[in-house]
Amino acid sequence: MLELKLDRVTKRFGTKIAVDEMDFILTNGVYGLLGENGAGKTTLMRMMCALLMPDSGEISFCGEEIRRMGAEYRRILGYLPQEFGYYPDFTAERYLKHLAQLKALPPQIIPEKLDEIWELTGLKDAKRQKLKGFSGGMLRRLGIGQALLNNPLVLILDEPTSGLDPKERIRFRNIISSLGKGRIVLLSTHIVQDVEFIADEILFMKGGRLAETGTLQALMQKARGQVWECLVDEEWEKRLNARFLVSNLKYENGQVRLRIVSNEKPVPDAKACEPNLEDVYLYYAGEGRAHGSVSDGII
Amino acid sequence: MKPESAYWKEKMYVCAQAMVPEGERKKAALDQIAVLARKKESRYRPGWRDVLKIQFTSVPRSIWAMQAVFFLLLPLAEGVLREKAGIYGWQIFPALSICMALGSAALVSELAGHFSHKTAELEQSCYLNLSQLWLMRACCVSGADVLAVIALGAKGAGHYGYGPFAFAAYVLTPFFLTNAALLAFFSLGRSGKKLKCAGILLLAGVGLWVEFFCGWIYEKVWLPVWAVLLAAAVLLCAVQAAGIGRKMEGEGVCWN
Repeated sequence: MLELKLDRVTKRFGTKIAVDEMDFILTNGVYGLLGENGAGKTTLMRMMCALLMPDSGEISFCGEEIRRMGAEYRRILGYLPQEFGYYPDFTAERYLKHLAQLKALPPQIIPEKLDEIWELTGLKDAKRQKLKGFSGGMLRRLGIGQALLNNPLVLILDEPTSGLDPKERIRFRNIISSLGKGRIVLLSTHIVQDVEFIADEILFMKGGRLAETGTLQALMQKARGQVWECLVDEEWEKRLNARFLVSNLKYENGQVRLRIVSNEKPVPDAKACEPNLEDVYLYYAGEGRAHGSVSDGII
Repeated sequence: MKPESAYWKEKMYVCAQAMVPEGERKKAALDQIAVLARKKESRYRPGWRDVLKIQFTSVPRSIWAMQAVFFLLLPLAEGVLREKAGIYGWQIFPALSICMALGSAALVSELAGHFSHKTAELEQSCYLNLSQLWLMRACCVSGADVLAVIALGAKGAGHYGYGPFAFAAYVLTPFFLTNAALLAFFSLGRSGKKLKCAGILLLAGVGLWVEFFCGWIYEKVWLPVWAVLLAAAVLLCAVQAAGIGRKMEGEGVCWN
């Protein structure tokens, strides 16, 4: 069993604490990292890729500190940065060959490996095209492909689905699902549906800390009884919207149907409903915001 | 010493345990096998020859072009300056310095390219990471350039009335200073320190002016000063290069 362990990992940028004493152990499987912008997801991932050094604490892979492992760790790492850079005048094939060399793939297996990647990403017909002619989705697929070149044991994908259309996202989800067996896969996203179907475990980050972790079912269980639906007029809609975390809003015959995440019933005739991952996300992301009900006399 | 039967009983017990492991032991054994198998997994580990080969094949075309120009045109330029333009004196040094500075600029601009194309972060996460690649590339390219100048100095020094050491010092000092200035400019520029960048440009301008218009600095009496300057320039250049390497190993790669 693989193990990537974060032990009281902290990272500061000036006075801002980006990651705050993070403790967690990742084993084989797919982990979805969720959190608002600025929650510390990218910093955490960069540290897990040994690109940034923690100010304190350590990250170890199977008992060995990753900074100490150096190149040996990078050999088993696949990484897709948030901003996937490329040389516009390179063809897709040349760029992947360049990265395959940097990843120290044996020269004799590079052509075979590239064929696998073209198949996986559906870019076979575009492999001789220059990257400057690639669409955002094609570049993202190429980015995912390059991360898999060295058959990594640790695969870290920072917002891999941004820029992909729904069809491509589904294709990507299927690829990732099939990858989680013999390796650790961590993917960050703010599109909660992406992790809903493929993540074995979900990590919620907030303010540089892990706000909550667990399987989708466990998190849903925790949010059960915190999600409400109600039908109100427009004036009430404004009041409720200002006061509560509204996960959905739909106009229906002059009235508004609201889906609210709150630990108390927002209005007397609100009905409790089954939470989905978006509700769960709001539930954890919105902690700290007042969850008072109208009966508190606040509104 | 144990009686023979007891010995065999114990041996068979151990074998039996190994043959029919209970659930937990079986799982532990399988896990251990998986760990061992992973350790033995044939992951290609390139030797130094392979690393050199990768280094060579991954050198961008711009660097090869710059090196080709350097190696072909430097002796040619020197010959033309000497034969056609009739430059026999110290004026050859600023001309050669500019040739070499162009080489340095190509090397630094190649590094800047990794950042402007936002590939640095990804390349830094690879087995042969960007800082290793670039430092090795810088050492090879600069080393080759320095050797070329030394060879040129050894061959042509007599024409100018300067010894090979003086020739090397007069050309290499500006070369290393230019490199250090370019690296500092790059590093400070990426950190957004525009005022310091302007300061470096000003210093470089002053240096160039002195080199071009103050022929007396090439008089023999100043040679010890050149020697000290050369040592300082090499040190400064090494410090700057190591600083950039360290930044890339640290947080600098996230300059993107």
